[in-house]
Amino acid sequence: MSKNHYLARFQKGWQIFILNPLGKTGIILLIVFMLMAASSFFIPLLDPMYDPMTGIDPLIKESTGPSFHHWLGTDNVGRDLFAQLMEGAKVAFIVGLASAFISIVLGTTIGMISGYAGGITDRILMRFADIIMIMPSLVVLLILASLFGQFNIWIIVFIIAIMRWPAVSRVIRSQALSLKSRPFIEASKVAGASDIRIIFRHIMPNVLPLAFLYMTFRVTSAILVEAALSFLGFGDPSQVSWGMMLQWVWKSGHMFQAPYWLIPPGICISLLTLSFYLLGRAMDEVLDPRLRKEEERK
Amino acid sequence: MTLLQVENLSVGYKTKKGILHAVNDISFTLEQGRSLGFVGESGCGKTTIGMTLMGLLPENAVITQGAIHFNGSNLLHFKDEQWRNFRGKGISMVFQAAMNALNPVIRVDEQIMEAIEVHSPDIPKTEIYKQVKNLFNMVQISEDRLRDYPHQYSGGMKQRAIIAMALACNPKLIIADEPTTALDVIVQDQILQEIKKIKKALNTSVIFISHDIAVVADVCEDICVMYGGQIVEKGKREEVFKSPRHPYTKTLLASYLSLDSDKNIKVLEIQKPPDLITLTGGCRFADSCKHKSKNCENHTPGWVDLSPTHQAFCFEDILNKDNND
Repeated sequence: MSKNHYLARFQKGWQIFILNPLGKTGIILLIVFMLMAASSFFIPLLDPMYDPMTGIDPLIKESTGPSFHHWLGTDNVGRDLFAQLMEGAKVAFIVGLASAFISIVLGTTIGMISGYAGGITDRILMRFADIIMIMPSLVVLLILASLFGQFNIWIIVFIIAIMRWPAVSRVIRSQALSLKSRPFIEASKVAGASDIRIIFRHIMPNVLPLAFLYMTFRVTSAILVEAALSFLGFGDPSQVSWGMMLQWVWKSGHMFQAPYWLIPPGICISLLTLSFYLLGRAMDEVLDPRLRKEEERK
Repeated sequence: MTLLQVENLSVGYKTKKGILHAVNDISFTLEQGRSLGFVGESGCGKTTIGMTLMGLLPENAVITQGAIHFNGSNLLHFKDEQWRNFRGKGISMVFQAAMNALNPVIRVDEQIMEAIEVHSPDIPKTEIYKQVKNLFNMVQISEDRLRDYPHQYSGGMKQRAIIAMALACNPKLIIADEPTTALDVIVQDQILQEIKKIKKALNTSVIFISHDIAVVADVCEDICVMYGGQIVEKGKREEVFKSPRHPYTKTLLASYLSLDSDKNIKVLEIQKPPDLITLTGGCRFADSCKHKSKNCENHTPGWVDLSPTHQAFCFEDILNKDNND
């Protein structure tokens, strides 16, 4: 009941998590990317020329390969690619986590309410979800971007979140539907629990593993959508991201001339999405005690 | 002191073919500290009565008439908020499917604490935890199993935990809906003794719903026999089981297997249960009754007093005729 109790609980969960090979791989990959994102705060402090957006090496006028001063080389105007890659990691985290979080909170809440309440509430919410679900998010984003000009990164995050909650809420709703007819829900009704309490105390812990699993998928899809949008030239032009780096390679005609520029962002996008996926699988086991192989009693 | 008085209660379910009269014109009373058993075959309306008393009928159910007086208030006039405060405190319930009546991802102690918490949020947690420990002692689960998850419990332990949860707020009445059906006979007996002991210690009333005559006979002081949504015979345990008068009660008891009656077991002939949607006048048991007469098909039977505490829902001449053969 105290802080200690939650600490002990966390430690126990952590042990299960880290013993899982998927979880271990995922967390190692994730730590690497977190270090990358963290380093993006310090690199520009070394020398203004390492600023990913505005720093230009005065000695370089064209794209060059890896060298001692520029570990990954430079782009066509002499900006450091390594600094851009680190900055891209930070942006990928922000975009992925923020939009996944928003869409999971929205999707889980709406799904649980819809499934538990049923009837007219359910019908209205789910038709609304259907309408959003059938819209292809990338196309909608492209149309919006071409209508309103280029978006700020936060608006992109928000739109991705808004476009992506319906699939989550559908899955959570179906879980809530089967959960609400389970005897333990009836038992807590008998004990006098209110609807809100049943939704957040009894249904939520049961759908949480699934919500987290979906959160990892949302993270990956948000990163991918942002990368695609940027690559197509509709990203936030004032913000370096991996997609933006790819767009710059393509636009400056270096697709086949500068592999040191093209390949790292591509690999980073794949590995980061992979690490979130692995994380989700391992998390599943921690959150759902039934999936554990064995557990010693305290 | 009368704790619960149900008067002329009728409950129906809306179906595509019309209203299904699951419970029809039922009246009974229950005194504080006594136990009442409902027996009857499946589909006779036993569980519907329990759910009506808890205010947990499904959405398509309608209460067409009647009143339920519990401790001075009519439950049928309750609003949602009142029901929430009432459940667990006034009446609580032990379920049929005890195996699944615990949330699989929440530890058992937390679930029992919750039952106390919703009614008295002001009590400090340490105090609540003490109460939970007492409850566990009462139902005889050792304290080191408090922090387990439900899947680490055996079936009997789960059932005990459910009983502890039902007792959490000191309810005046516990409805036990087939609480031992899924358990083997040894555990079943332990649980039944537990229920009897608790009932005695806390002076709680118990309504016991079961199709198992042996179980009901063990726990209950008063018995109601149900058929087709109606009570057909009610009385003290000894009266109903030792000298049954209604033809249905007789067939029901005759079909019960026991060691010393294995020579002449009369299993109830399988008859179509009465159609509860299109009700005709007359006795619902008429089609399966061996004493059927014209009267039975056209006239609704009435209550016949056999003793001050023993009544049967039949015609007097049939009861007398039946008694003589």
